[in-house]
Amino acid sequence: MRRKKAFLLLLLILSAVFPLSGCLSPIQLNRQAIVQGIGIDYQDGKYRLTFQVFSPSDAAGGSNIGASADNAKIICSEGATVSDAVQNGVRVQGKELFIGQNRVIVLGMGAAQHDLEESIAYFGTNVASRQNAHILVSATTAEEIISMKINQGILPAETLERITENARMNGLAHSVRLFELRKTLDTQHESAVLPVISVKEEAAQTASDGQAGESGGSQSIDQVSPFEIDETAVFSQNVFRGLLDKQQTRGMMWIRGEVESTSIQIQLKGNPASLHIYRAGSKLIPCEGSQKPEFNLSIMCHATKEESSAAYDLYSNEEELLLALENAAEQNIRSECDAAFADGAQALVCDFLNFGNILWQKNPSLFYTLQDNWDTALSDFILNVDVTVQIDRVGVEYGSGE
Amino acid sequence: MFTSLKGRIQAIKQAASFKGANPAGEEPDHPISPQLNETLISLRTRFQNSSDLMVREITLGGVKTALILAEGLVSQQTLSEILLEPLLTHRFPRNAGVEAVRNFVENQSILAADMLPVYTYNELFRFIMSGFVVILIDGAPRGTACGIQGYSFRSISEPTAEVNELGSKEGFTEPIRVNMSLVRRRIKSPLLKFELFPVGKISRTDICLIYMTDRVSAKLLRDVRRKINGIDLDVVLTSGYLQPFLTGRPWSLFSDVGSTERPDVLAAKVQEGRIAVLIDGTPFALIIPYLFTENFQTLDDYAHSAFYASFIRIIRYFSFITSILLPGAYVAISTFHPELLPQALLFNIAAAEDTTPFPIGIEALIIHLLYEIMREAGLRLPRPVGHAVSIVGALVIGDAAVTAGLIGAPMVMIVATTAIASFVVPSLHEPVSVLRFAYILVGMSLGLYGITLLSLLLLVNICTLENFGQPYTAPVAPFSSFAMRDTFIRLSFRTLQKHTATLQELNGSHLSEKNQEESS
Amino acid sequence: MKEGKISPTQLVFLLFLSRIFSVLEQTPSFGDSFSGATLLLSTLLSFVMQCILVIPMLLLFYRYQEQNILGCAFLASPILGKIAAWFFLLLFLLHLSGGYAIFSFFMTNIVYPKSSSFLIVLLLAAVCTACACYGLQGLARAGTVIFTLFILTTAFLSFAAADNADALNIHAIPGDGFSQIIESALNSTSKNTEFFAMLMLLPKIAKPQKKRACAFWFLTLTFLFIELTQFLILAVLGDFGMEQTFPYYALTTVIDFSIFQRLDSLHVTLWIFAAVFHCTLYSICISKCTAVLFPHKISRFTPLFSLAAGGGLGVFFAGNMQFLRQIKLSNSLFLTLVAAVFPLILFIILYRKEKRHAPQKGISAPAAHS
Repeated sequence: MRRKKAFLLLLLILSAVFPLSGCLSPIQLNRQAIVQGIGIDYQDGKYRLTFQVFSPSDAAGGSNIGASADNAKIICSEGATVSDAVQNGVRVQGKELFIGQNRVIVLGMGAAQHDLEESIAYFGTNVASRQNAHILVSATTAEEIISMKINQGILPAETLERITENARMNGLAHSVRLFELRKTLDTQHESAVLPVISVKEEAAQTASDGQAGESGGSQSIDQVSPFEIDETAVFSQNVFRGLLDKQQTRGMMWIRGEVESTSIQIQLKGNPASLHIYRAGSKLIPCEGSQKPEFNLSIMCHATKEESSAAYDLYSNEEELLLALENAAEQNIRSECDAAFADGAQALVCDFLNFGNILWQKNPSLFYTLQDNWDTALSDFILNVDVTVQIDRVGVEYGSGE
Repeated sequence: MFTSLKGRIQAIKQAASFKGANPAGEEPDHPISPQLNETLISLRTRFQNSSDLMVREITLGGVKTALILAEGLVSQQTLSEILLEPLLTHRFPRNAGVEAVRNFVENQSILAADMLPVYTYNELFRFIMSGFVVILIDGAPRGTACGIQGYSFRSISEPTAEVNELGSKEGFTEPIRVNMSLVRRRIKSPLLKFELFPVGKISRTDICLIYMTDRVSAKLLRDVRRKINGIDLDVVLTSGYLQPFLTGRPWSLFSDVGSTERPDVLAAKVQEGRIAVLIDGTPFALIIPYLFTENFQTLDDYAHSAFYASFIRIIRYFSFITSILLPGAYVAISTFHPELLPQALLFNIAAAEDTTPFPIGIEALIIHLLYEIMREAGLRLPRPVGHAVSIVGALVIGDAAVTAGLIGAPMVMIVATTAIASFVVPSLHEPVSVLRFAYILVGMSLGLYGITLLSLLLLVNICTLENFGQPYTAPVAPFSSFAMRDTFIRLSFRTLQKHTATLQELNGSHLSEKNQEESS
Repeated sequence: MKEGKISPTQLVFLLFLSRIFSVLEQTPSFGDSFSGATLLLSTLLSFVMQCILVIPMLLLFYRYQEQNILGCAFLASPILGKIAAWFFLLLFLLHLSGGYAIFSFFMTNIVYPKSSSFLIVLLLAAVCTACACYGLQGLARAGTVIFTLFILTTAFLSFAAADNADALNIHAIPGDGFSQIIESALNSTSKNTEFFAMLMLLPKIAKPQKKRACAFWFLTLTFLFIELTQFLILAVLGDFGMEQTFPYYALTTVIDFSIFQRLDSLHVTLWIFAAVFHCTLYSICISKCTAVLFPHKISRFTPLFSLAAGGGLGVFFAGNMQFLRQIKLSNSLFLTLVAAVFPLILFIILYRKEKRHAPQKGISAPAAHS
């Protein structure tokens, strides 16, 4: 009887729930604009946001989504703050902006240089925002990147994300997600690095000439993917410090242990050759007992021989060739690391090589001593680089063909 | 004299066991008169001169004798060959007397395999209406009922509700005695016992309790008998009439009394210490008590190899969860939490729902309602037309509605998947149908929060169910490790043969006096 | 056969699931915030502290096997029993309503930012009340199933988070580390309000001899879960993670595993499970207090009372979270006094009472009564 009463009571309460169900404020899917890419620019004291929104074409109960279909719409809005701009973005087109599936956030150089933390604060704290969205900096404006038409994938933002991921996996560019950037900005001694994305000149020309997609089936590579990530922007304590070039970027990735696999182009007595590093590991360890902060970097790589036919004649046998390739590769990696350290970290006075975190963990007393003047202490740092490249896979062809 | 007294006591006992408790509202039971004419007049009066009552009066050894039967219930051939011929061809001494004739009928002849004494009018009516021929001898205080039933009944055929691949194709039929024989053939043990009861004040339907005397719990048997004796219905036509009286909680969505159409399944359950109830007139037997996990077990599991059986069992559990949760979860996630969907899937759904007139929740309700209507229509229509319903449903409603933009294609997929998943566990069809709608309603109004709360409430509700001292969720909760070898997976028979788990051994069971506590 | 007995394992699962609530709802940004290796070490120290704190309770229940804390208090003195019953009633009511409020705070901040606290609390309170009406046994059995799901989900989350974990994010103990470790350990200990529930429910298990194992398994499982959770949060998010309003939730939002875009819904589901178990357990404890204080005619309305009072206070606190924090429901001194000192005092009183009444013969525990 008691249970019956309890059940009836519960039923009574729950029956009141449904009239109250509007209190949970559901928004139907057809009233939401699914945002895939966000561009943030700052100009004339105002933020200009560019949203790449999913907009299916010719859907009637079924779904006609294809890589060739034009599934994206661009929404631009302005505001004194980012949240103001987002609100205006809703106002101009009527649908709620759904940022839970957002793939990329592109910061224009102006916005990044103005105030990096402020630019991303809204998306960092909004509960609906996707914390795994990739962050990129545009060499020019974010609007240019977000608005670019790409005939690959369902939406261009998807391609942007894949480009970033591929670049990271191939050891060409560092990739940063929203939560990682927020974590770095929260740490005083650490400097933030963001990949810089730009549009290739040829692609920009093609787009402006309106030739994209007219050839009906065949497209040039620039129409498919007009972007390139060549540089890395460095920020320290929310201030833009400078750019790292390709060599410095990869050196940074070697030191941070982020290279999983990559290709190395080397010169053997003036002849081009290449190796594919299929497995790499880096260890950065502070030296014990030194007065100044000194680090030993050990890099171990396993490689596959790729192109080397031009150098075949220069060596008497395959073993000599492999040894020469290994030495050249080691030298290549060493110079990249040195470039990242000397020309990057020390020149820009920014710790983006994890020195602070490693020292904090391995030698906390030294870290606490240097913590308050970390940036200036960087100039006294010493980095010893030891690289070992081992070619243990030679591909299909072994030995010079005769 | 003593022989007749002993026989009288024995018959009373049998009548008592056959009769069950004293049903309220029945007329008091009068003994039949030794005067044949008086008995016949009384009989015809009580039968309201019904057309199916047949009375054949003959003279045996100078003594008036009457054979009383109900038309259509007795085998005419057996009546002629086995009953009438011996009676009519026997040479009684001239003026043999009542005792001689009665002695011949009761002790010196085998007129039928089943011969029982009849003392009262209630017994007389029950035997006649059960297909017996009652022989009344003028001057004798009792009659003799001969069981030569010959009514038409459906032959043993493949069960329709429980189909399996490798097991027996025999299913129960309507006559209770045929069903009893099907079970007896499978357990040739003297420990298997049948107990007959009549239930229903008017229908006096025969029901039979089946159990293994060495395995059943005395407490369980006592409680089942008590509950059956407390049934006060006028008629009992199907197993569904008895089920509410035997279940622990009539209002619960899940029933802790199982039913089966298969004698092999019944035999398997009985040897685990359960009690089965056969009901005359219905091919569905009841199993008491019934555990939740048994809904996911079929006899095919024991015909296939262990690894495949385990795989299929897990599929069944997964299908059950899919059938109740999928539509509600889909509605909840699409409405409240679209960020959980993979990107491409979200795009497809968004594209499909872009131009549909109804919100996703309303769409789900409409389409599931249509499905239930079609399913019920397909069930009730004659078979040739019934197939057309599925074609109409699938092609016309499903495809046309999507093309017309009334509903999205993903929703049709959801309904189809849900429907197919619900067919995997047909015994849970009723709660699944209701719960599905509950989840849709909760999902569209409260999102994942509501779905989770409802799931938890349902789980606690199921875990609280207990029937005849047996927790419904055993052996999962309370956990019994040894029983898990045949719950989510099925181990090899080499392992299963080591010990047959009975209900009393499960943790939390109150069926055994020894097993008082829940322990794991 | 006594009604309502549950197995030791079931009680461990129940207490664990209830404890998870305070782990998941941990909001270091509103209180004392510790991070890095300090937090990890302090959790270990807290585990040791709790193992010591539970000893008086075990001593008392070992001697008076069928009595819970109220029963023992009544044995010591009827007045003391009444006072204890009222005290625990208010305590459980406060924790129940606090649980509703904290849950509502989470839901309205994270999952349904535009929804009303009233609705969130009402639904949770209704479900908890219904579950409490079903009784402890039903809840305990459900706890077995949910615990299994919980372990699987935690394993999945851990596996998914491993990819983002980096030991570098776990920072060393600062200079004044030892005092911070102590402070953090006390803070962590104070959050284990399931000690109060143990005082009411530990005698409820079917095998009285397993009380000690039950208590220590509960503490061990909880310690392992907290340590794992904190390790993952720190390894993935570092000190930044501990600055979030809900660190564990923050962890699940950054995990991206295969087709699962975001795992925060999984966390929300676990959170709701934990909240229901936590609040239902306290509702059951409230009913035990009222059963002692009031006659059956009145105490049978306890579920309604829990719903009304707990839910009402919960809505009030949900709108005044600052006030709730000021009350400081979690306080290590208070916990020590109630969960350790009070049972010890009762033990001493009852022991001396027995000695006075039976100075010659061997002392035996009082006759059990349900």
